[in-house]
Amino acid sequence: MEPKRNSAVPPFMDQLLEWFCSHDHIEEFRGDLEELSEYRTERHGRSFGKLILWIDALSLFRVRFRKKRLSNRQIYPFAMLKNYLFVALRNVKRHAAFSLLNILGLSVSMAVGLILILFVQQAGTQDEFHENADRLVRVYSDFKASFNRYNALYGTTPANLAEIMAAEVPGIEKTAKMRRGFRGTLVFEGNGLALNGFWADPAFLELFSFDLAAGDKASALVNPGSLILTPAEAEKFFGKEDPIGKVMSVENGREYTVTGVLARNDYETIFPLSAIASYSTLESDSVEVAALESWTESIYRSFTFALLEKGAELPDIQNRVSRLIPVHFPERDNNNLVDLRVQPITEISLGTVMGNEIGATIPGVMAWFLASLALMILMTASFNYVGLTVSRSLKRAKEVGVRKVFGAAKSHILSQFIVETVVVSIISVMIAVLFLQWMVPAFNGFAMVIESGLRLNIDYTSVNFYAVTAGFALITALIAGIYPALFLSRFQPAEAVKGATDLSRSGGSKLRKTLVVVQFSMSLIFLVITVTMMRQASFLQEVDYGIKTERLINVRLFDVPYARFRDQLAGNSAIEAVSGISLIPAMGSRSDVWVSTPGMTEEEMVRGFQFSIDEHLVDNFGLTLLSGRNLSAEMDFETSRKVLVNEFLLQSLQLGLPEEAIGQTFIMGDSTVVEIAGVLKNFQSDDLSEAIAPNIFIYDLQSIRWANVRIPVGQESGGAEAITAAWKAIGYARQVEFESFEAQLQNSFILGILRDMYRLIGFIAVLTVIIACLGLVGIASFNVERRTKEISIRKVLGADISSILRLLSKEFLVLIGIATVISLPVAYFIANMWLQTFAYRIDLGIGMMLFGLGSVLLIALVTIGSQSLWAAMANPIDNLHNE
Amino acid sequence: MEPLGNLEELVLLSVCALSDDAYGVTVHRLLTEETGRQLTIGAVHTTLYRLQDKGFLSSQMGGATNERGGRRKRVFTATGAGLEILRESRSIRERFWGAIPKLDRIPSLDTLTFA
Repeated sequence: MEPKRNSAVPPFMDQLLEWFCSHDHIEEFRGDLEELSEYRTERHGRSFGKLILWIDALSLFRVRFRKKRLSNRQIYPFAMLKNYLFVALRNVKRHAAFSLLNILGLSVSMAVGLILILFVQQAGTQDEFHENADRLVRVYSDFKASFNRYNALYGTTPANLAEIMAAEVPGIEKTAKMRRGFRGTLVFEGNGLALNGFWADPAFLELFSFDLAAGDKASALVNPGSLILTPAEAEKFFGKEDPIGKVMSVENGREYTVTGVLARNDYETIFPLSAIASYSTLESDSVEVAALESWTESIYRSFTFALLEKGAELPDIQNRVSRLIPVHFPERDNNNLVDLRVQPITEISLGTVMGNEIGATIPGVMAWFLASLALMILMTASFNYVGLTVSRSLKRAKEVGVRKVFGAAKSHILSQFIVETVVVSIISVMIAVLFLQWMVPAFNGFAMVIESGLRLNIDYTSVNFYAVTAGFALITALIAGIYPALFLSRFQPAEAVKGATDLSRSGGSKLRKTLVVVQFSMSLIFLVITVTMMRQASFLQEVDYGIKTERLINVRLFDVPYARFRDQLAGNSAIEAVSGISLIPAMGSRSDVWVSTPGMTEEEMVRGFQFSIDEHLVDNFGLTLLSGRNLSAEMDFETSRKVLVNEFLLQSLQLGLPEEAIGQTFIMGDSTVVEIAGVLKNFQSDDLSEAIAPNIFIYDLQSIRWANVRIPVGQESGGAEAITAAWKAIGYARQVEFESFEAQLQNSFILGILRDMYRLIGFIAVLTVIIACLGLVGIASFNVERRTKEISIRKVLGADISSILRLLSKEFLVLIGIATVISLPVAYFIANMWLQTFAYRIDLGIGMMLFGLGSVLLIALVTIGSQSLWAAMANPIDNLHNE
Repeated sequence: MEPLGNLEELVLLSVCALSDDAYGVTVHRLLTEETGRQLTIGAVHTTLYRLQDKGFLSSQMGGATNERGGRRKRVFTATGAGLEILRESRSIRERFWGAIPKLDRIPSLDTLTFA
C-alpha cells in the first residue's frame, strides 16, 4: 500500500491523484505513471519527459475517474446534520462545566468585539442615508493662515465658494452653504436652552435628506430670522403645542421665527443636530456681512457642499475647483489658500483629521485600532476554544474512530466538528447579545465616545444587526473550529478506538504549548499596561498645578458680562474674593497666540497661550509675581498693550531674567507690539499631557467667560447659595453652572480619557487573564487525567504530594517563563511609548513588571495547583485497581 | 452492436496483439510506437474503459510485480464480442481493398494490417 519513496512520480502529483481519482483506479494509475515515467525520460529526456508525464497525469483527471465524494451526504444530508447537531448539543450538556468555560469566554469576547465593530460600522455609514449620498461632496481647504507656521487642513472654505462653484464649475448641479457658530442661549418665555447650531441656505435642505415633520421644506430657510428646531428642542419649549410661527430669541441677540421642525432627532449624520437658522439672517446683518466678505475672514466658519451632476467625475470637478484659487482667492496678508479639495460626503466620517470639522467624528486610524482590538480579543477567545477542545480530543477520539469504522470520511468528521463549533458559537453570540444590554450604556459613557459625538445605537430590529451578529458567530466558529476539526478528523480509526495514548504526543501538544505561551504573553502585556495607566492616572491627580485651587469655584458666564456678575456678588460675606478669566487653565482648552521678537523668522516664532483676566486673578489663583506689577483696570489691553507673561516666555524669547524683562516689548501674532508689565512664576496652564508653555495675560473684561469665586473656610453651602442668588438676580435665561476647580481638574478631559483607557484595557486584561486561566484549567486537567496511573505508581513507590505537584506544574512554569521573556520587553516598550505622550509621567520601574509577573504566576499556580492537588492526594489504589 | 471509433479500434487491436499483457502502459506504448501518434495515458485509459462499457473488453486486477513501485495493474482482454467486431471491421475493409486493384500494389500498408 505505502508508496516507495524512491518513486519516479513526484509526491505532489501523487497527492493530486489521490485527491482526485476514485479508489477503483488510483492504484492502477499510480503504477502506470510510475512505469510511464521511465519511458518518458527515455524518449524525451529528463526534464522534458517530466513535463510530458505531468500532461499524462493531468490527462487522467476525467469525470469518469473522479472520486464519488458526495455520495454519502447526498443521500441523507439532513439525517447526518441532525445527528451532528444532536451530538453537539449532547456534548454541550454532558460536559456542562467545560462548555460553560468555553461559552463564557467566547461570549464576553464576542460582546466586546460586537460593540467595537458595530461602533466602527455606525461611524463609517454616517450620512449614507441622504438620497443622493453618492453625488454629494464637501469642499475643504488646505490653508496656511497668517498666524500659522504651516498649512493645515480645514473642513471649512471661503464663504462665497458656493456661489462661485455654482456659476463657474461645470458638472455641478447645485451648491449649498452653511456656517457654524450659531451659539448662545435660545429663549422662549423664560426657558433657555444652549444652542450648538448652524446657519444654512435653502439649498441645504434640498441637498441633504433631512425631512421636516412640520413646516415647508422649500421655504423654511428662505427668510431672515427663520429657525428650524429638532423635535427634542420643540418638545422642550412648546410641549404639545404647534411650534410653527412661534417667536424665540437668542440671549443678547435677535429674534427668530420657528418655520420648521426636523422629522428625527437621531439622523446618523456628522452635522450637529441642533437648531438651524436661515443663512439669510447673516446676510441681513451688517456685522456678519463684513465677516463674510473677505475670504481670509470667512474661511474659518463657512462650509461648502455640492451636488454633482449625474455622471460627473470627481477628479474633473477637483481640477476645476482647484483652478478657482488663483482667480478668486489670491494670497493676501500672508494668508495662502494652498488648495481646495473635493470629498464625497460619506468619506468625512472615518476620514482625514482636519480642523474646523462640521461635527465630531472619529478618525480612520481610530477605526482601524478599534477593529484590530476587536479581532485580537476574538482571537484570544478562539485560541482558548482551540486549546480546550484539542486538550479534550482524547475523549472524543473513540467517537471519531467508531464513526470512521462505520464509513465516515475525513470530510464528514471535519464537518461534524465544524457544526459543533458553530453550535457553541451561536449559543455564545446569543449570550453576547444579552451582555450588550449592559455593556452598550457603559461603552457610551466613555469620555472617548462622548467626545467623538457618536453614540452607539444598536437597533435590535435591524437586518444589519443580525447580519453582523451572524457573521461574527460564523467567523468565530471558523477561526476557533477549523484546527480542532482538522486535528480530530486526522485520527486513524484503529488507533483511536484502541485509545492509543501517543495521540497526545502528536501535533496537539506543541500547539497547546504555543497557545499557553501566547495567552500568557498577552495577559502579561495587558496587565503591565493597565497597572502603568492606573499609576500614571493617580500620579496625574496628585500633580501640583501651581494654582491655589482649594475653595475656588468656577462659574460659567455664558454671555453674561463679567462685571455684572461680579457686582452682584460684591459685599456678600459668603464670598472671599472674585476674579475673572477667559479660559480655565489646565483643562486642555487653550487660546493659541504666536509670539516673537523683532528679527525672528517665521520658523522661530513660539506658540503661547493667551488668557484674558481681570486685576484680581493673580491674587485669587495664588500666582507669584516675580517682578514688575500686576495688571490693573487702567491697563486695558486695547489702549495700554501691557501684558503679564510667565518665566517660560522669557526663556523662549530670550528676554533675560524677570527683573530685566520689565518694560521690554515683543510681538503677538503678526504685528501687535506689547510691553511686559510683570513676570509670573510658571504654573501648569495646559493639561498634563503638555509641558509648561509660554503664557501671556492681558486685561480684557470683554473676553472673560468664567468667574472664579473663592469661598471662605466653612462657608461652602453659603457660597453656593450666594452664587445661585446672584445668578438669579441677573435674570439670565440659563441655569447657573458652576463646579469647584478641584473637581474640574479631577474630571478634566485628559484624566477622563485616562480613566477610560485603563478601565477598557483593564477589562481586556482581566478578560485575557481569565481566558488564559480557563485554557490552563483545561490543559492541566487533561494532563492530570492522562497521567493518573503514573502518579498513582509514583505514590505507591513513595512520592509525596509536593513532589507530585512539582512534577505536574514544572511544564507550565517553563511555558510561563517563556511567555515572560517574550512579553515583558514588549510590555515595557508599549508602556514606555505611551508614557512618553505625557509631559508629567511616572518612571516605568521594575516594580510594575514584577507586579504583573507576580500576579500572573500566582493565578497560574493556583489554577494548575487546584487541578493537580486532587490527583496528588487521591488514593493510588482507586486508580490502579481497575487494570 | 455499437459501432467502433477509430481510436477505439486501434486500442482494441492493441489489446488483442498484447494478448496476456494488455494494460494502460503497454497499450499506450504499442500505440505510440506503431502509429507514431502522441497519445496521453488518460486518452488510452478512457478508451479502454469505454470499450469495457460497450462489452468489447473485460478486465481484472493482476498481481503485484517488482516494477511500477509494486502496484498491481488492471489487465484487459478482448471478449467474444470484441473479437467479433474486429473481424467484421476487417472484412468490411477487405471488401473495399478488393474493389481498389491499383492500391493493392502499393507497398507498406502494414499500419492497418498487422493484426
